[in-house]
Amino acid sequence: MKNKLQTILTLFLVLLVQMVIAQEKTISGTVMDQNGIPMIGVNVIIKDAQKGTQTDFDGIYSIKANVGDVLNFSYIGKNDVSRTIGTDDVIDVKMEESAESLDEVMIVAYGSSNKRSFTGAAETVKSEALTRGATASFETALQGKVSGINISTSGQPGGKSNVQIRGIGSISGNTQPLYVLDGVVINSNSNLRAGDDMVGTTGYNPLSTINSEDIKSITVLKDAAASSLYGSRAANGVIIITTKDGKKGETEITLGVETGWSQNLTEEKLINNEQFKDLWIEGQVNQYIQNTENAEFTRVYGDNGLYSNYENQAKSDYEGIYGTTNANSNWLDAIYQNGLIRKYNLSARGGSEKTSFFISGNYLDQTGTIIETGLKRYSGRVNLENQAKNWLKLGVNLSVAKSERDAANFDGSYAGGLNPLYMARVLPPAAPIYNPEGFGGFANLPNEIEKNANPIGVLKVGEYKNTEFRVRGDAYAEIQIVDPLSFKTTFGIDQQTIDETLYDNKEFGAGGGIWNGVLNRVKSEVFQYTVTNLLNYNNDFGKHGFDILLGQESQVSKMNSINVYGYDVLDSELLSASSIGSLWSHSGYAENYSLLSYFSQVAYNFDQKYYLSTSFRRDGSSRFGKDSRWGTFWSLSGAWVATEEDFLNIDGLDYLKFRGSYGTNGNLPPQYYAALAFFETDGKGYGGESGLSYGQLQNPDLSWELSKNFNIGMDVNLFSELDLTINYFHKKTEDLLLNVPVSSTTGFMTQLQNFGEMINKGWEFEIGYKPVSTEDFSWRTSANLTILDNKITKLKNDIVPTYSSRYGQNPLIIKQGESIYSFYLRDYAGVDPSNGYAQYHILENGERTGELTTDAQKAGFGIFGDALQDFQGGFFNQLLYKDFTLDFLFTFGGGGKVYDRTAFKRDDDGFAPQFTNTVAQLNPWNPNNIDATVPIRINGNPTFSNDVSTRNLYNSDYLKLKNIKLSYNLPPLWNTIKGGNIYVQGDNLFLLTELDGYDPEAVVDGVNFFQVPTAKTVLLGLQLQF
Amino acid sequence: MKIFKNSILILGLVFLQGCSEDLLDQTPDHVISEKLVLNSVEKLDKLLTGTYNEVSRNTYLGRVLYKRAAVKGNDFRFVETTYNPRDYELIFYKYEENSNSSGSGEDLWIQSFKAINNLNLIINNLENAEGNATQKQEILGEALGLRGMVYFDLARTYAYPWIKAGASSQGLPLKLSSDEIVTERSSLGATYDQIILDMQSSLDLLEENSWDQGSTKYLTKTGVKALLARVYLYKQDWENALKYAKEVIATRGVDKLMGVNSYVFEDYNSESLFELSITSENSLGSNGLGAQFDFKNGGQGDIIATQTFVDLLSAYEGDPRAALLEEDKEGTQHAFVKYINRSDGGGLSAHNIPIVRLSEMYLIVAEAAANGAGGGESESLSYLNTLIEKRTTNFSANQVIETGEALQERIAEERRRELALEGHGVYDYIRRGKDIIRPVAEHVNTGVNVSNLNIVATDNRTICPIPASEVEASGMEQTEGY
Repeated sequence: MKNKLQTILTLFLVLLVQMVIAQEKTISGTVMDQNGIPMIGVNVIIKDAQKGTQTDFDGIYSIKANVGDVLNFSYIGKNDVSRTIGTDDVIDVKMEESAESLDEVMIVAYGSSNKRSFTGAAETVKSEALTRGATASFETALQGKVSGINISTSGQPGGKSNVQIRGIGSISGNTQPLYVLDGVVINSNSNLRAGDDMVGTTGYNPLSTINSEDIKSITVLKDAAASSLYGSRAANGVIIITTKDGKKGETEITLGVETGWSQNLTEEKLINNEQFKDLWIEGQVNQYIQNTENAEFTRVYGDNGLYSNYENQAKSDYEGIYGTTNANSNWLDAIYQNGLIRKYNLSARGGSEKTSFFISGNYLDQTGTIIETGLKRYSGRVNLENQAKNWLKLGVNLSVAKSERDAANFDGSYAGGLNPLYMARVLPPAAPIYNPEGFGGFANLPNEIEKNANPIGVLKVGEYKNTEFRVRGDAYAEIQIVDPLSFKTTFGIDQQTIDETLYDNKEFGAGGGIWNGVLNRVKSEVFQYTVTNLLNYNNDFGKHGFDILLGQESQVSKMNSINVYGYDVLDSELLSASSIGSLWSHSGYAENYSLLSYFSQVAYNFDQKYYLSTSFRRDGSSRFGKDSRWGTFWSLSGAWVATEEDFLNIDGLDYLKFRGSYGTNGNLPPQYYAALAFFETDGKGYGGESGLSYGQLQNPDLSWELSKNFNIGMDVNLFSELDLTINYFHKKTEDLLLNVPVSSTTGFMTQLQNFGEMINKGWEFEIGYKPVSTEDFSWRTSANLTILDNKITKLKNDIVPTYSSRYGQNPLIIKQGESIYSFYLRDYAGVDPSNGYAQYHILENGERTGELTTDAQKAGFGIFGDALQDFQGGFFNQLLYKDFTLDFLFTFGGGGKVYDRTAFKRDDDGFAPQFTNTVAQLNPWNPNNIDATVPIRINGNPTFSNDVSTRNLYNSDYLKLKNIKLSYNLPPLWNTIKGGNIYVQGDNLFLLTELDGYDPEAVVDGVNFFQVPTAKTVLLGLQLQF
Repeated sequence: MKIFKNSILILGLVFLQGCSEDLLDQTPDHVISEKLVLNSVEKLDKLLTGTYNEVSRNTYLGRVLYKRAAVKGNDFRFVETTYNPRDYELIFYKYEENSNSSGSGEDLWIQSFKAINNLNLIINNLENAEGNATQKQEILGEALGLRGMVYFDLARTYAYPWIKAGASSQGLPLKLSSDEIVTERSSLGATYDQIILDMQSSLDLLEENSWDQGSTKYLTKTGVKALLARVYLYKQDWENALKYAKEVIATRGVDKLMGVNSYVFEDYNSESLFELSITSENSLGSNGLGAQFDFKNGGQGDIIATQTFVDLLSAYEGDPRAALLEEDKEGTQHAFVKYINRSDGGGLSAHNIPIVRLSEMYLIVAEAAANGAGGGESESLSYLNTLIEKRTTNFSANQVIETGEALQERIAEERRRELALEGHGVYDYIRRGKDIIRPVAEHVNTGVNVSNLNIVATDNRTICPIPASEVEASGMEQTEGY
């Protein structure tokens, strides 16, 4: 009986279940993005039925459907998701960002487009990628993510970055791209135009006051079709930054917290005190032999009595300077530290039917890996948009930021007491760092090297502070005149206020001695405003589509500064201008520039299949000479979406597009008044009277650099899962802005002229692929590769480097027919075993004659490669498993060279015996060690063995783990927290390259010379949505 | 449609507003445009003031020329390499100049021409400028005199001395007008003719000196005469050298020579004929002249006297010049501190720089006369002894009685003692055809190559090459020997 009942019940249940299945039921669920954030407005459609809905403010949807129906979820910028309805009533979906979305809106010059219809070469990067770096500014995150762009940066707080799009575009002019923030060209001048060149803090990054968390996307415009609409400023490419906007619906609040630690990625290996002492004494003995024994080393080394005479003399010389006990100082440990990062970010976005907003606040506190360096940034943003009338839209984007940066002069091109990083890296372990009796607890340097510039004392007691207050914003009105015709006017401002305090303390370095402290106080202000008016016509006539833009723009920038510089400072704690006892100089001036432009763009398409576009811009600039004030720039481009053709209906070939463009761009002279003749007043007084002096030769013909860009490319999508983009580009820059040498009898050495030509050409490849994609696990991989070749094709004179006893010879030559950063060196041939001198292959016209010489003056020079990498790229992988995501980015490059110029100062075979060495200097040649690979060591070495030669040339091929991140998506919590994630991330974790202490991604010109080291960072982060 | 009309109107207005081309004229406010300067005598006077400033910069008389002259001679040397000397002018000391590299020789060349171009602008535009005629004459006189001086300094630094091949040697490119381009080098004869012409014209224009305190910070009539005497001395025109030197002496008189007890190198001392005023406007701190020799107060003190020079200074009893020796960087008493920081502050190198002093006029008369001018050797002895009497407490023991070559040698020695660090050093050897012999023992471990210690007077490295940058830019002819 029991069994029977069971059978019936079971039967009933089965029937019931079957009945339920056949019934229409309500399916509901939540749609979230890959970070677990609910998504609003996702289209949910039942496949093969005319029925659908959208997710609400909480990402929740509800739809009636039958079992067996297929639900299709779609959203712009995300991969479509399909789910078949089974027994569950709840179907939650996670949507992932699509690698390539053809119809996604893409912000381009003065408007927007999409990948399908855009005829130029441009690339968009989303916020997720941009907030990845541990640095304060966003652009450093682009390295390895976008082909054709190369960014050098150190990763120090607020440190400067060097961004190159498609090669180096100029010799004496600007090489950085143009930055456009929410449609307004911003002032991205890295020259503060205020502080003193020599003592100023260096490496100022104008982009560090932009909070990367506020950025929605970045578009990198690379070819003429994409960028020619920016005319005279677009030759180095354009980076368009779009900040986040509001959206209808419940306000979404995001809180982000990050904390982390940083260390130097690379550090050189220096000798210890005992090794220093041995090398010093050996060098001193050899100096005596050179000066008094006719340089007969073998004879003296063989004569024990004579040798020990000199050795004793040398020992007593050493002890006279460094004393009898070893100081065992570690200057690197003293100047480096573990950096700390803290970042807090709070933002809210939301809106009503008519008005939407985005607001955010951000606090960043970062200390660098060099002591007494750091950056504090406070920033806020408000973006508002209001549909005032059905024909009028009003909006405003406004950001305010304040940054406080501590960084002394760590300039990697200046070697001397004012550069504490340089000092710490050359001072010997025998020089004590601390002395309890010394000023501030720091020791004086032996023989008061470089005016006693104990770098630790310089940094600890001195002050090198730069504060910046920055307001950037724009207000706009968009008027729909009649349906296809609209007008937009934008007024943008960029206000920068700089306050700099540079204090060389009373004891160590430049402020010591009679000066009693040197103080430089600088205030400067730059105000830039831009007015842009755009008239847009967009209409289709059957299969003919037109998009026409007419525009006018004017931009004016006004800068003024006050600079007070003096000595005899009242007190190290009182660093106002009134603390200066005696003035050296007080100066102040204004520098302005203006630009006036008219432009238009006409885009036509036939049936979304054939695209044609032209642009035209006429720019007048105050920086041009009076005889060449206006320049015209244009482009012509086309595209063919081959997969739209009926004859190309191949299975798996989902998308195929060919693009081509040609056009011109310009580059403005970097100086505002380079065209004018004028007389200087600053510092020209004499005998109590003010004076004048001829300041500049006039050049009425000074104009823009003209770059002619050709680009051809294709975009392919196969089986919806493999994307491929290939570009070939050829960029010829003519009328280079060049400091052309002129006869000094004019009173000047060079004049900025338009002369010379340069070509950058190459290939760009990008590939994206998703090998695995299941509900629980997916793997996405992408890679990009850039092949680049730079050549100078026309030059007035080769710019041949000359020797200076402070820096040696510059290893770089600028020569027609060669790459811009070509190394011009002697051909090192090792140590001559008979006398220990460095020997060289004699070069004549760059070719070996077959002879060797130890006389550096007779060795001759040749070109040995260049600094630019032949190829460079990035390799990215993302693995998703349930709520875990692991991704990592490798960057790599090859074919470039690096010259280690630190050798001139440090691994110098005794040239400057007061400085330390790396371990590479151990075991030099002497008559008892004739097989040595290091030449003879002579204090005050006069043989030039430390000067430029292939001895210090290395390959700069590299592989770097640029970034790795592991994150976990948090589930919703307590009804208030909608989701979030927690992550750990590492930046620059390892690097493989030949030269110790060098990061090929930190230096553009391939000359290693005491640059700020790259920071390696580990961050912990938490992000919550409310 | 109304919206449409309004919009077109707004649009039109906006476009019109933006169209103003005036927007594109932006001028700096810390510099003055050409037009404003060249038409006004007042502004040209400021340009002259600015030119004095240029002359006083470290790259010309503010350091390079004087320091170069000193370290290439026998009397001064760099401290040993272990004392970390700065590399300024080190290449000159080491005699390592070559056509590709001449250290601050390049800076000196550019700075000199910067001054010359300022002066050319004044000289070319003064006539048509608006202003007072007397003022014009004064400005023109000073400008011509200064141009002569700058060309002379260039001639003695970049051309072989007169004694080597006379007028036929390679001279300088003579750029005498602001808008012409001159890259052709004249002969040394033509160069000297121009220098003398400028100075003579200057003499004709300038008024007699006022001798007010501080007036010698500008070039005066007597100042020009003194410089002219020097120019003739270099040109071995003994009669004229003697003539102008004596004219200066006649103007000033022997009582203006400093004595044993009044020998203090302060600003505008009684011997001053022309000196550069160094105040806060043009002070150079550690890059300036005084800081090169003076180790005190954080000065560089990289250049110290050789034993040879110390011995030379100890020859006379009670010689006030020997009292200038102080403790140096190496811990010996070899710092020769002629240029003393002003007691009332002003930092390092806070001192005026003498260009020409009365004592030099006595030495010029003595040398010119010893070479046969005027009253010959007896006149020579008389002028030389007049000076020596002011430099020792025991004149009778140190009185010069020698004749012939020995007399010439005494004059040269006296010049080394009297005019040390005043821009004569190496020039005084080579213009007389004398080799520079530097004892090995005095230069141990100073970085100089032993083979560069003894230099013959005609060696190319006794003069600067035309800078490589100039040859590269203009194709200017390089000096023979380089």
